[in-house]
Amino acid sequence: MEDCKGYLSLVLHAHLPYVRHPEYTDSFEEDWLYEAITETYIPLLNVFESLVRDGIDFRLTLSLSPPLMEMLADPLLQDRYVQHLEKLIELADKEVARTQGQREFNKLALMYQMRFRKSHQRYTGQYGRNLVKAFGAFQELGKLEITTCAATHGFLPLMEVNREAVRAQIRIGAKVYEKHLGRRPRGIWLPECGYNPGDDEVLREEGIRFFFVDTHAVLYASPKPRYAVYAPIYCPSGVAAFGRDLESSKQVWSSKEGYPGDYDYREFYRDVGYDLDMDYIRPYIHESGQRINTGIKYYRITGTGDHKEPYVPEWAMEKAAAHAGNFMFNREKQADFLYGILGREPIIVAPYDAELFGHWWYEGPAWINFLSRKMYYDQKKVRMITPSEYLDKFPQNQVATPSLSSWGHKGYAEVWLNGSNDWIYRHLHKAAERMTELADRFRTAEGLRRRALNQAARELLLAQSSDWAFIMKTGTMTEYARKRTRDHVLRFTRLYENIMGDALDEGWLRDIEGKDNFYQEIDYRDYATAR
Amino acid sequence: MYMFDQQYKPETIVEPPPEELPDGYGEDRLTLMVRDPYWAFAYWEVSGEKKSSLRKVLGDQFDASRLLLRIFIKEKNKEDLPRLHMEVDVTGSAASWHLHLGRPDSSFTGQIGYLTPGGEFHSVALSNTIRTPRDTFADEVDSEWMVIEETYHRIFKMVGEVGSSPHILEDLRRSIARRLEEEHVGGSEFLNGIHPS
Repeated sequence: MEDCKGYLSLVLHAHLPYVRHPEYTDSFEEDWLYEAITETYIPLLNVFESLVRDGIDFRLTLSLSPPLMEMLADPLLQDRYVQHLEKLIELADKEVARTQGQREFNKLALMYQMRFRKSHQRYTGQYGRNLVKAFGAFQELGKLEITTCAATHGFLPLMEVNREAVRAQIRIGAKVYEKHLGRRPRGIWLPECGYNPGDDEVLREEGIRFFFVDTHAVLYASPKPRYAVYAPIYCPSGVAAFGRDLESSKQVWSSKEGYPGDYDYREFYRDVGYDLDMDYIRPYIHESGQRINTGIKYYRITGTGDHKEPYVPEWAMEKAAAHAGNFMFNREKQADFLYGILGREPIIVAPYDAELFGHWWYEGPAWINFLSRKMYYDQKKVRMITPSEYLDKFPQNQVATPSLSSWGHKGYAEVWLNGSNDWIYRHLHKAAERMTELADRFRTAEGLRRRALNQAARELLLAQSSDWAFIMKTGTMTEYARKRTRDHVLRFTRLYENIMGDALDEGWLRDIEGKDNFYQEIDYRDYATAR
Repeated sequence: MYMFDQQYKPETIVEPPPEELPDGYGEDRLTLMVRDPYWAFAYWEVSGEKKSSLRKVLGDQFDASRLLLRIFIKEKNKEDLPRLHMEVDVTGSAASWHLHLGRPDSSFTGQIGYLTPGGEFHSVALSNTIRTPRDTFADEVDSEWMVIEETYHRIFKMVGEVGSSPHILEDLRRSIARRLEEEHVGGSEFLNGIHPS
């Protein structure tokens, strides 16, 4: 009889910035959401469903960011998603016809056709268009632990000068979670694992028990942690910090050694949106004629060069199963070894971006499926666990303060604070200061003024999304990111001036309320100075 | 990490030319932000009012003055005043600067002001206090939760992070620093690694 020697906490962080453009009929950026739903969120739900149906006890931690929750529950975006999926089904039908004579491709076209149709059925039927509630059901079953995230994924270490703004990001993040899932969050995924010592006090105020940080945050904690990164540490506030494990990260994330680079896996960059004739594909790409990814891809990675062979799903599934087995085997060895030296069951924390699974790495959800089954059936040494469960089992932990850090490139704040994006901060800080000024000055606003104050809070939050700074750094859609920053800061400023000058423009207010409608129930008083 | 794939192009936005963000907000201000154990970022504003009042007081001397950014380090465990750590001449710059402080686990404050040709310093603004994070293991240990360095050695040796040298923690620290420099975490950057173009 094998004893449990350690625990694995698989953490998926699902986030997209709040993107909703009722003013456009076809938005490139809204597509991010539709792709993530089709390629990541629905496939993950399918995996959870099949595990529950087959009686597999599994555990996974899923962080859902408030902007993502809001978008998933937004009726306009839900409608647009259904239309998007119906177009995809139409394309898949055409592809089945087009590839009639080509067995290898036809098989794949049929595969996509079936997947999209099933997704449509599930999305409109069983899930009632609300994926947040669908994920929530697995939390109720005790299989998923869903954590929240900061209200608009603001990078908190760079918000340090505005304590009320930090508090509001956390408080509103908890409120949005409660709105959609009917309970308070026990844990939070700090955006980019951006931890600034002292921010944990704010988490404590909101009743949050734990958060996640990168490896060096825990290793460099003061005092030095006894269990390295293999047990949580309690910040002086009592909130627990779970540090990322290096080894399990590398196996998945590493572009050199990671599983997703296997030659039998699906090639991301050979999409029919780019490969097929313009006349044929035109209705399925952007209305301007700009080619985009459709999600229908026929090739496998094959090798390092440009030559690609047709995708063979059976081979890919075999690889996914083998990689799941390999991952599990390594975790068993790791747990055995660590238990031997530490004298306590370690927790191995393996966090990833959710969109890696299914979108970037097509076979990712299948890998999770195989891993959960193998862990359940093939061994007892390592058990899947959630952070809350681990804290319940091991309530005694060392008190130490993690160091300021993030999981971004270079481990600190450089990704969000460099030549490409440093210019935004004087505007974000000023707006945050002004928001507190407004909240302090107008403690009991009503009617139009209250609406304006609430909208000001929304504009500030939307400007603070760390996504804009990230995009400016990566250089992919910098104009969009700059525009978003500019628009939200300017709207905020105008609202501030209007409110202070008691000259509210209802027509304009209604217009931006319609456009930037994040979190209807917002309460600007969350920005008031704490008394 | 995100959906922001390399191949997406910005959309064409058909709207009137957007208003630009202001250069400043009419205040005298200096803000410091921590970037990592060695670097900070400073941005500032000198209000029109301030410039006018200084011009009145200093006359011609004002235009010949240099705008200086001074960074002070607060020594740990000392009640002494902060001492000057570095000084940068930021005259004519774009009102912000990336500062190589080079001192992890230290506290800093800043001051911006004009230095006249005559050597008089006229302070414009003082900054907030920042603290750079550690770039290595803490010295402090907890007697209740003793760290056995041998433990660390064995754990990280397994992961291939350290060799057999007696300077285990130093090895590990170097390995962490290397990893942070090299490894990208995230969607499109991640795929670029698989498909070097």
